[in-house]
Amino acid sequence: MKTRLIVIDTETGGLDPRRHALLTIAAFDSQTGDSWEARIKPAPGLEIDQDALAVNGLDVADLARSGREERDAMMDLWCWARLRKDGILAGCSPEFDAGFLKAACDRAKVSWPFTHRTLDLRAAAWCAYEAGILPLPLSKAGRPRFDLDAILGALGLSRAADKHDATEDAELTLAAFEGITHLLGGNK
Amino acid sequence: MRTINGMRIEDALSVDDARGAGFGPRTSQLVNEACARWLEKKGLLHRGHTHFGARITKSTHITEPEK
Repeated sequence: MKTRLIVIDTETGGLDPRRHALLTIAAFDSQTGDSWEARIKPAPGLEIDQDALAVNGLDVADLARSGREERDAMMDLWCWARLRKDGILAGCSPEFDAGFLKAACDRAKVSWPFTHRTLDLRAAAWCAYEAGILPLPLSKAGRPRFDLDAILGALGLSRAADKHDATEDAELTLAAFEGITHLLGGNK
Repeated sequence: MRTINGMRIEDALSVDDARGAGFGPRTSQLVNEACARWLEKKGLLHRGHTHFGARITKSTHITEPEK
């Protein structure tokens, strides 16, 4: 891959970055394979929905006990990211993760450390699907699915467990970007 | 023909093979492990003296040709 991707994934306490807590973060550098990850102590005043915990399986009591303070984690991530500021922020719907990270940066009073350019795995999968080289499964309505599980399945990859894990999902998202690039004949 | 992340199984028998195909370090490891799991599930993988869960190595061989 000629360009550096910074692939991110987060697990959160819901869908609203201003209302729900940021719980875990993972980031991968596609060029070096370096990773950064953190489990976050839920910030005071933010909510955590049971529906979200059903997806990520996180133990809030354990995060409150052993997670990092959000400000400390964001400052650490800022340092890691600034060393890779030429990278394109990538993920599966990265605007969702970026929204939570921006809200956490605001709370921690640190500037946004990443580029504002983003690359969505779903767009790459759409191109490969339309080119006829990525046979995505169909939804009940007969439309191609562009969720991470569907994309991974079409590439012969899968999660190790049912629950979403930021580190594993970021790693698999990076692999899927590389896999689609490989299918398009552009890995060299 | 079975592929993992766009690579044929027999072309991803080592992390170095995946690296040679242009994958990054993390993805090469992951692709190689996914190949190992698939081969093991199919009963096609002899791990020899490597311990369970190890990645496929050059010394590992497949007992049946890929169909």
